[in-house]
Amino acid sequence: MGSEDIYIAGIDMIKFGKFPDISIATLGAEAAHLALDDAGITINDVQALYSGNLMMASAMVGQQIQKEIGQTGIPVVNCANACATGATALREGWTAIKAGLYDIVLAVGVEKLAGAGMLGGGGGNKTGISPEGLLGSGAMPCVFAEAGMAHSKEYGTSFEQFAQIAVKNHHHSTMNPKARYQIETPLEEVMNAEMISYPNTKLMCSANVDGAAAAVLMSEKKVKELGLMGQAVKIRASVLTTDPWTDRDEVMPDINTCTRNAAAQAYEMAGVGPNDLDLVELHDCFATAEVLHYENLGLCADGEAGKLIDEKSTWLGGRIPVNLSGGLLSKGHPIGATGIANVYEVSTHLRGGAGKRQAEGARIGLAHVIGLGTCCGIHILEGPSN
Amino acid sequence: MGLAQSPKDDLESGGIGQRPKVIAQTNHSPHVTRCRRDDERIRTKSRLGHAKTATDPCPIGVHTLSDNSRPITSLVQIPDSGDPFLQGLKCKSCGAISLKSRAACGKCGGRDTNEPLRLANKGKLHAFSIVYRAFPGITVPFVSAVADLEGGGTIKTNLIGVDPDPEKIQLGMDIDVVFQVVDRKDSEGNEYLGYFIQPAA
Ligand SMILES: [Zn+2]
Repeated sequence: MGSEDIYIAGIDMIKFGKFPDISIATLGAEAAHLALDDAGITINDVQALYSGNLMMASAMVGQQIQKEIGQTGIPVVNCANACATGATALREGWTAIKAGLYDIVLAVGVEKLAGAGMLGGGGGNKTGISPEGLLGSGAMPCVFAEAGMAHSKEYGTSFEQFAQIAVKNHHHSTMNPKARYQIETPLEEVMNAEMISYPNTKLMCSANVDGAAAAVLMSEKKVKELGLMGQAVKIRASVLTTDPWTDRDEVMPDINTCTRNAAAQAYEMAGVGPNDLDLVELHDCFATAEVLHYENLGLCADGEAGKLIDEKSTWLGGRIPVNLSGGLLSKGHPIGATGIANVYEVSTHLRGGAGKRQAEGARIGLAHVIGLGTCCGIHILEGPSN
Repeated sequence: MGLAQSPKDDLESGGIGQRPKVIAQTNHSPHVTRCRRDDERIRTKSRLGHAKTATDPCPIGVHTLSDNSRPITSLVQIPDSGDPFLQGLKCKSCGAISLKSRAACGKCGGRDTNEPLRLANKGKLHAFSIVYRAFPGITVPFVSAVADLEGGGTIKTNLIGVDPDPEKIQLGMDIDVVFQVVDRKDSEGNEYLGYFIQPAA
């Protein structure tokens, strides 16, 4: 593996929303152009394209995007890895530069999800009867509610504490013009919203939206050659894990162990610890999930996530701000784009360009995603030093 | 705190918001009562490689297994005589307990190391969620729950015999596993024997 550092030389995302009349290729192309412009290069400089999309995994979305932005004949890799799809595409690009194959690659994540049902998962057997609603529920709001309740069992985490996550993330999104929603949701409103799967109300479930995000990755040599060190964000760690065997994994997808393993590897690779982080974007697909990841990522000791919430430590201005973008709850969760959009948010803070929601003096940040099935992607990033 | 616009209003168009009408709950006996007429017994092979049987309808008890009653999953075993039970697998190499057969042990990768293991009918509630929004045709609310069984094995199923009220469901409480014919049939009209958990008697 090459010893050179790899950088994000350009990165951007489109405003997430609902675009029924715009094709997936056009959305992806828009994000790609934004990222290329940010890096000050063109598609002719790009040596490989890594595309992340889940719902149309067999549709050659990467090549569709390529036909929009320029068919230069470079290799295109289409990635699908549940909700870690975008992070996987980005990491595949990182891996290829690390291997010395290329100096400049483009990673694009795109998804059209607006209007999709909230439940996901569930469904049933191909033969016999569907066990959904008989043998519990495999729908996503329930799966993540149960994960949260296991935390409640251990530490007494309350419905109100889970709900505070949604209050915070919706608040943060009011300062993010690229978020799907910019609406304050006070605690009472979150708790009184339609109960989807206790303790997750509708405002505690991620927003299904259309979206795209893209990043230009470069070798250190190329960043220096192009004079981009002033804006380039260093990838201090790029890690992907899956769920190792755990006793309850067959009935309760284990989002904790793969995150803990990924975090340990990422901190080691980056040579930093959780106390060195200035901000975190983590996978709040449901409010209950964010609580678990506070401990999984080591932002607090086991059992102290509730305290972290009560002390507002993860709000803007707190000890370790989490999901300043508004998170998946309010920025939105276009699955294939999510993993790159999270990296965009962290990078934007590290470059000092996050406006009203800027984490002051941010130098190091972490982006985390979970794909059920299960996998975890973590990137630790360091901002330009000037 | 009404807002003119609430986030995610548009999600209502997702098509899964309909609530099916609530089906009246009958007072189910916790254990299946069944009778056996050997001459008409039907014998099939389950995925776990063990013979299971089902018998003709029998007038005794609230729940009976008809001659086309089938296990809802491969976890359910219906013996020639006696009560149904759950049967998982235990790896004789590493001790991992799993619920369904695999090419190799999920924990140690051992091949041909899995042996059938009868799971306990008692355990403790590990987690739950009260499901209000479900796919069309599914009665809500219901309690989806995860329970750790005595001696190993974790199952997920509906928690019955309690109000769907978080105040009335104690995490960590003792539970019993019970078997009931479910009120859902396949396209051929076959009925299925399901397993549920309820607060320990
Ligand atoms: Zn084993």
